[in-house]
Amino acid sequence: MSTVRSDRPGDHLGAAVLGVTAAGGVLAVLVALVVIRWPELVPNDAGLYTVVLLTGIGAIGWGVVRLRTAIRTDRPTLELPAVDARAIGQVPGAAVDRALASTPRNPFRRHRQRSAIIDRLRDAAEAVLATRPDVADEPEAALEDGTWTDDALAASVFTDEEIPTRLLDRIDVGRGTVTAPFSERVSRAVDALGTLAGVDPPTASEPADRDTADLPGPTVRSTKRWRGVVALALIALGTGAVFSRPALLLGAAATAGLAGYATLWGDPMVEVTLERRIEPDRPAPGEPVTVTLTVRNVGDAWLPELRIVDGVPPALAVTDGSARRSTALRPGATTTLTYTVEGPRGRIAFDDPVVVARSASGTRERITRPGVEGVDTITYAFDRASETPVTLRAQASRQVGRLLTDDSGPGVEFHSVREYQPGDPLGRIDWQRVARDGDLSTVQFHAERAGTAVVLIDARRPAYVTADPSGPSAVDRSVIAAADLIGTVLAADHRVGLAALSPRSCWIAPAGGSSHRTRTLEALATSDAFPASAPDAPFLREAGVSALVERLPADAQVIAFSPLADDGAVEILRSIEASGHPVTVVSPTPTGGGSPGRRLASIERDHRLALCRRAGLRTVDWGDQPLRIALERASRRWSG
Amino acid sequence: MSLDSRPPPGAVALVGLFGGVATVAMVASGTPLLAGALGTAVATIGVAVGARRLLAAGAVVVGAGAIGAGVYGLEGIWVAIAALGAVLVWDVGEQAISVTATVGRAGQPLTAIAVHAAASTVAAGAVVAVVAGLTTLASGGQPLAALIFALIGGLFVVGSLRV
Repeated sequence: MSTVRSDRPGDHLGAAVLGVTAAGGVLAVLVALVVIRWPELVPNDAGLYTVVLLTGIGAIGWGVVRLRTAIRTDRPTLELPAVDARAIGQVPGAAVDRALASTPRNPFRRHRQRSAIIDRLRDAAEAVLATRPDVADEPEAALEDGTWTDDALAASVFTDEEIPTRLLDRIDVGRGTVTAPFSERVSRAVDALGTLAGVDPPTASEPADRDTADLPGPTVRSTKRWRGVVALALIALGTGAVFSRPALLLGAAATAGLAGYATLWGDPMVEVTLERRIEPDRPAPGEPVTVTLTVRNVGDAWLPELRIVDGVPPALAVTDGSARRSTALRPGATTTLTYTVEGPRGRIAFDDPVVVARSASGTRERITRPGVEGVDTITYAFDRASETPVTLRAQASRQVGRLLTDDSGPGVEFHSVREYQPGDPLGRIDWQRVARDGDLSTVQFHAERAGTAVVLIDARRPAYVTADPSGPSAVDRSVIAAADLIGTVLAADHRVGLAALSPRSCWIAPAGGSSHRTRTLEALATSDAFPASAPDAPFLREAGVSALVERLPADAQVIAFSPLADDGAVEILRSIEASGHPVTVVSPTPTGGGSPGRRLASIERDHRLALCRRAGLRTVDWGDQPLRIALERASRRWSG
Repeated sequence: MSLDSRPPPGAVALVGLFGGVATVAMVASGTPLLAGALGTAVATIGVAVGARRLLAAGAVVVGAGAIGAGVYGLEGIWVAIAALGAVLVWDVGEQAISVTATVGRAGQPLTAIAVHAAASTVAAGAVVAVVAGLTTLASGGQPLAALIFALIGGLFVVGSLRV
């Protein structure tokens, strides 16, 4: 609540200069009143009218200049945070779309921008063509000579043809043709690649990006909203002088008087207390939460105008009510904001609210960020029953469980029959064969043992991707699904651990039991390794993966959640698989939308999934359907 | 949920009311009345859609109408009321747009707008009372020297306002 700066107009002149000017003006007006009362004190020379005329014209000119300035100069607009919608993840391909939508004037920048897009497109094209020998034997050559597609416009992206930016330059009057712009060619090339890669053309509409302006700092400033009024007074004053209209001088005096009223008010003081209540403070993921913010004026002064914007973090969306309020508060009075937010998961802390107080005339405003008493964090807890069945891969521990192995041993499913060995239990002897042939043989069953799985969540910065900036990110979906899946696996008597690919460490060694389940789910809900918003720090791949592999028990398999939004994810998962730990990749689909950039991102991700499958990893391409259904579909492919 | 930054109908009505007062004050002037009516309509539309520049254009037209009415020979008190009406059109309209842009319609902006409008109206009323007193003095026929002193004094006072 501290004053950082003041930008009251005229500060540069100094209070003394302004005071003398105002005093001189008042004195002159008093003299005018005296002359009006006793006109015989001064001679009424007609030549004085020239002075009046010139002064009047000067006043009009000054007024017009101030009016132009007032209209042209933007008043300081209060940039407050957009707290009403979520804004978490990056949209895959959005960078390409932005680049296609803009055309830098600088030819070098333009060339660099286009080259970057073509390079990325070329990488994707080569990867796709490598899987389609029926289309092109040599991908690079096919791209160069344009034989990879029937669409000449799509093929032209990879030629060295220079495409003019301006429409006029693209028109060939002689041939009556118009050269297609670069963005259209890229779009056609992405379409052609998508067809070759078997990626379905997306139809989703483009979601709007949310403005994530930084919160303003504490400050006191002038709103400059009365400048036009002063201009009106000057113009009325000058016009009255030029046309000898005393009525206009009165009009000018009235206008200036109202502008003078605006200057009477000093800087508004903000003495308020705020208290926030959150109900419930440990909701289930996705459950609506009611937030109540109470603001009380504890000062002695009336607050004629107060604007309050609660610090709803980007991870939450306001779904009912409003986190904003404007009001006037007399001393001791309170106002209460009640609104509902929804967030997907995690531990999410509120920011301090922004409180803006204005003087009664609105001339001055004070922006503050007062602290809040009460609850400032929502923790989404995983307390629901699990409902996502999952099949672990055939790598079991020596402990008894429900994972069917290829080994013979204790179990209920028939495995084989072998010759009787002394010590075999009588109940396992195949008595029918004894009766038929007289040979003693022993029935063996598939051994059922406990599996050891580590759920690994990709929470690196690139993993915070989403098809809809206002929806959950891939990490949100991963964490929620992981909580469900961990419960299921533990219920099947397997041992489960938890780890993260994140700048912040998270490791819970595989174990079983209800207390372990509670501990693991609590870590999923509250660990800093899975923040609601993308971390700023980078993930150190070499060190992080080495540490993870060292920690993994020898018999552990890995269930990894990753949107495969970058090539690094594939390399990490392949190196874990290569270290002897079978990996199942559950990949929430972050791509969607019909723009060229999004479609290109979709093709790239499809290629990464193919790379994972080629390396022996089991993959689950998880779209909008429940994970349970995606797992069932994937398991049919695994068994087939 | 997106922010609805259109000022509430109550604020639009207030702007229309002040514009109407300014226009009615110009009735005796004839032609400038049209400027008052046109400016009021433009300003009202500007507030209704939350367009600050449209509001400014409307308020300027109303102000120009007030000055034109003064040139046409309207009495001082009515010129003052018309000019103050133009100022209030801008003041209340800008307040409505500013508050609603910050808190949205759902943020109950009408309270702050109404309190601000009430304070400005009381101030304008006080100014009109003072002007009514001065009207008895400025009835024409005063010496030019008085006009010069009033003019220069007015410029000094207005120039020193820190708004």
